[in-house]
Amino acid sequence: MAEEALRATPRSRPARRPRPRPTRFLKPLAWLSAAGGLTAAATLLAPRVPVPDTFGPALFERLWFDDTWQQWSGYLLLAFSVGALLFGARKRLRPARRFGSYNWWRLFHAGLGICCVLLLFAHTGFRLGANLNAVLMSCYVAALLLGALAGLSIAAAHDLREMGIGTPGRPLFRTLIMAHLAVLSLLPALLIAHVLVVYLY
Amino acid sequence: MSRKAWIWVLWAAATIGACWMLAAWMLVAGDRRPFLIGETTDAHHQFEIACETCHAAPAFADAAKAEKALNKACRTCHDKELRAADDSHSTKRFRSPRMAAFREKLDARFCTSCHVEHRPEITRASAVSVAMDFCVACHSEGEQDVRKNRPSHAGLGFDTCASSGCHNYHDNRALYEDFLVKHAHAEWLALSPAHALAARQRSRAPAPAPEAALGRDDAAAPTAALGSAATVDDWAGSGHAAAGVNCAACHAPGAPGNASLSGIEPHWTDHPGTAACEDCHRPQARTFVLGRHGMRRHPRIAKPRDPAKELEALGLGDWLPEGLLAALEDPSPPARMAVHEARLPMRAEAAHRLLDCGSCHRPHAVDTAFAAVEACTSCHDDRHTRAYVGSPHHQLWLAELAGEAKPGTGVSCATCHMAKFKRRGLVVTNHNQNDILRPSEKMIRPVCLDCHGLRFALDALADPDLVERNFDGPPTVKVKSIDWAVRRAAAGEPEAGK
Repeated sequence: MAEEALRATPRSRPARRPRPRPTRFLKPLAWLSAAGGLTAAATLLAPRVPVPDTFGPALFERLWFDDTWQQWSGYLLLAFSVGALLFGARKRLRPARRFGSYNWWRLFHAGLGICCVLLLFAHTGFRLGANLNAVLMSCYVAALLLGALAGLSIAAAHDLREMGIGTPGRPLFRTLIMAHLAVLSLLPALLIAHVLVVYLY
Repeated sequence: MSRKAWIWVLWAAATIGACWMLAAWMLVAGDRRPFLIGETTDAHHQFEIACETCHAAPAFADAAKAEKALNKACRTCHDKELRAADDSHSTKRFRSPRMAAFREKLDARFCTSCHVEHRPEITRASAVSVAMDFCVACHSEGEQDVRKNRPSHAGLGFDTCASSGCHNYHDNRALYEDFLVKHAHAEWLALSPAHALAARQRSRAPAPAPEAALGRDDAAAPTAALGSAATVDDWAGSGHAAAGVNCAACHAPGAPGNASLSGIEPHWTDHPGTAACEDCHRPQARTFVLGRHGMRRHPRIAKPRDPAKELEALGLGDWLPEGLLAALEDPSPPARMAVHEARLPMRAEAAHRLLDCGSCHRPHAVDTAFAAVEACTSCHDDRHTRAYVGSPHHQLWLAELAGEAKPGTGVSCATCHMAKFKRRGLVVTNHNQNDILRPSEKMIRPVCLDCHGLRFALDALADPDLVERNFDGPPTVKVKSIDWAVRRAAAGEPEAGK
């Protein structure tokens, strides 16, 4: 009986917590986020690439001032942006979870973010634009920067906690993701207005 | 419903509402300047509020139709000017199938191929939005290769065609070879330099005082409105009084011609609009709206949209609730240009002024000498304007005003920038001060050649520093085109035409 009682006691003892499995792809996520953040910041900080002052088919001038080329780069940018939004769909649509782990989707999301920055460069050439376009561009760049910072803070979550930044209940990346989503929420209306202006005038 | 679901619903509603409002703003009515993709060019910014002036195609028209409508709008305002300039590269010329190869390089059938609006970064002088060596597109190979046709051009860069004082894309009236050869040997200054039309206008003997001529005591205005004695004196000494134009003609245009003071009073207005001037000075008024001073009154500027009509046209008669429809309204373009809206340097104290006839012509004195110089210098504050005072041209103007020189020998701001023309035997001043402003070679035939030789005029206008200094000395730039044209003519080479 006593032996049985002894065997039973471990049940009442607090169970030993399983050792946390290391999150996968954190390093690549950190690298991609850093690269994305830097290129997005360059959009704001780097000088404009000058337009050549000689007549002829110049790639950059076509990219940034030819309506047809801008239309293509714009739609490509839209397609990649929608692709990046699919990351949110994984959480809400159960069938989507069959296509890779959460960590893999997150890495893919960061990769698409970098593609978006590059396409944004192709579409605008680091130009902020004017009026409505300036608002749209600012929101887009802010969304990219916040996304990149969120990625970095996820990759460095443990270190940040040790440094006293964020709490286990409210880590820094959660705040950054919320800010990323808040800015993103403005984009559909601004994008629709941008496309309307292009086709109307 | 969970908190998250509520957030989703609120976000969707806000996004749909915002899209709805933005679409109504664009398609129905409202100030569309927040949608401008870039700064509008210097002249067009005055009516950028009225998008339909240029964007005349219906909403969602295909690209070809929209481009056609846009180019038609350019020609609506600029066609007359281009015809008068005997346009060297008329769009008509490029419609020929023979020009297909050239069109592929630069489609000169469309104004918008070289003049794209709202793109300040690529907009150069004269609102050209392609690189300034654009001549290379057609004149660098085949039959049109200028370096083969003209040995003198062999080492020249294409960026110098238009910047050297030799060629313009549209207006070459003072630059074609025959003209250069004809005027090649003219002295720098004519023997008796004077502007023929100005001389004719200013030396015109005053008409013998008609019986209707009015004097100080004839001023017929309600006592309260009569103003100061100086105002009445100004009027009494003006051409208006000499021609029998009494106060009521401008201040009470609705009153019958022979109305007594009591008949005038109900129609009296202290500030008559420009319509009062336009009634009599039609040629001046017609040209005034073509220049940057008066273009806000151009009849082709689109009127504000009627929201109800716009909805009807979109097949959405009841799409917007009545209350919202009333809230949407296109801003009316201001009827007059304000000095502070100008993009040239202007005097701070003149910033509040609005431009109409009375801005330059003091309405009671109607002093054309004041309008020709002081009116300009009281607003414009650039180096060229400031340098005018004391310049040789100004000295001549002062001498003429003092009666020490013959009529037409003085050179005022208006002499060069408001060239005169003949209409039905009368000399009329062109009130479109931009008509011959740019490219500056447009000024040569109607203005410079009255006093100066072509060679001197070409050199002077090609010297930007001299222009800034308001021609206070001889030009330091030498345009070679006359020498080359003379050499070609001497060698018996065929003339290339205009």
